[in-house]
Amino acid sequence: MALRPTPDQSSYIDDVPSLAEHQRLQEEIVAEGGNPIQDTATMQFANEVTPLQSPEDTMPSELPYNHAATTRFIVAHTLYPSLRLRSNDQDWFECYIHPTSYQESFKSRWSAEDSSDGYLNQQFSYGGTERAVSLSFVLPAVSVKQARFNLTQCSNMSDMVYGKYRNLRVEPDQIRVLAGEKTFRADFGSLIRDEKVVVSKFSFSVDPDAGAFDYDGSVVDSEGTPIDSDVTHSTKGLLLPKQISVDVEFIFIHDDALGFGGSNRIPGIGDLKWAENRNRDWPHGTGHIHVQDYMRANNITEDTDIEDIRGEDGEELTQEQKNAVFRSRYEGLRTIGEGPE
Amino acid sequence: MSNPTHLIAGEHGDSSITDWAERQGYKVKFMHRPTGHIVEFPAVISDFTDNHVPAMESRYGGNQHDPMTTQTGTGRNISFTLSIVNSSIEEARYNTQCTNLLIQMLYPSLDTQNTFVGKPIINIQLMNLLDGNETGDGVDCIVENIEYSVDFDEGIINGNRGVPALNASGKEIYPTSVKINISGRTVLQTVGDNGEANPFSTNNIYGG
Repeated sequence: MALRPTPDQSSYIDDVPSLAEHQRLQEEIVAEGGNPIQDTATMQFANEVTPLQSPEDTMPSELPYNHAATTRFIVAHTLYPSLRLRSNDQDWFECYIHPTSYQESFKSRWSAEDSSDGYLNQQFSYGGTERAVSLSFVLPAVSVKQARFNLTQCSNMSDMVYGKYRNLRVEPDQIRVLAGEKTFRADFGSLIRDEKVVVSKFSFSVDPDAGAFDYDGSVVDSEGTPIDSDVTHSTKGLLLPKQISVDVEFIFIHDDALGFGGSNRIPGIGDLKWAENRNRDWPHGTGHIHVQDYMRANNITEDTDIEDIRGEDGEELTQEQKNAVFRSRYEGLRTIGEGPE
Repeated sequence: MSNPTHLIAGEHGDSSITDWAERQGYKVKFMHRPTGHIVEFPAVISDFTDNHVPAMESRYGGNQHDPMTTQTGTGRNISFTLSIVNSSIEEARYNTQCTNLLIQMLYPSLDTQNTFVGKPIINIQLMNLLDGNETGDGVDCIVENIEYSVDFDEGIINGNRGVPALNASGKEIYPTSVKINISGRTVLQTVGDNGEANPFSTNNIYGG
């Protein structure tokens, strides 16, 4: 792993901030992507998600730096963003992962028909473009709490590939029927930014070479009840692996029309601009640099003759009234002015 | 109406491979036909295949070993893998904008009802390997798949504000190296003046 330390980073292990501090800074610094959009689905889930612990609660009091899994843990927490999957305002998965592979495919659907004789090529018809991601990562654990946390996360993620169910009353019984797939909001740094996804694959494997946390019944509290320590646990028969490998695949369901021009752009002005009109890059984020002009949200005060808009009788309008008239003329234009960088 | 965008990847990377590519003229250029947007990359190509596939119909007669063939057309399928390397956070951000534009080229132009109106045909010019038809200015392609792969073993670049802030910059993550595999079919519509189906320039197809 090639780190890119700056000259003042020689003692970086000591400088690792707490997870709470990380999350606070993450929210504070990064403006791109905006706030998560809530999934409005109201289907009842057959399997309720297990509430997640705070990741901070899983941190050991002291990191055992001499273990290979510890290195991965530190790398995951210092270099990579967290992978987050939410649905109905509830976290299903939130964890600092150590990614090993990220493959994103954009597949266009073309159909071909034979042309008349003499033409070399077929006639092509375009049907759309699909986006999917295959992500492999490792969940390292440096403490018993972390190992339990990782297993809980994986349990929740395994639920994601099963559909959602609803109760159907068939007198005198009530049965549960499949009501479609579950959708989530996924976020992984600048690679996946608050996108609606369907989880199309989840594969879980334990890395036996990394070892496991063993049971030790001799560690007890003041009342003699067996308890977990950082490196041993109190549940006989429980396997807590120190490292888990996960493969997961997402299919993206986009909220906005994708292409150039479209209903969110001003006809004649935004025909060559990206349809989303949100002043942010897509599909991958680019931090705090300005977006290219074709990605910029239309600014009606610069790009249009909104200042010339008058009332039905030619009277002067306030700026707010002009904006309202403008919006009504270009129905579907969602974003006016500057959006998130 | 705004003008088409023209991005050139690696513009911010004076210490990277970009300089060598610039001096040698190793470039790959993509143009989105419906909009005219252009993006160029240093041509760090790890593989390139160009299959010319004649479509044949075969019939078989009695007591005949060999088929009676009728050619109905010829297709040309291309595939290549482009590596994009970043040597700094600035270059990574800018190159990401370039790869974003390349990916966006798989999407059509839309009318006010969001109906697809402009097929996302991409003109690709890859030096002499994809030099084009009579005008020699690239090959129009139906790009069916773009695969964006990150090699994490080669490292990543993120916020670069000192290591405590590496963590804090969690939203930004740029691979040091990205591989983009592009595969598709070319659109061949030109027939040579001599009546032969040679849709290429009068020079050798691959130069030389």
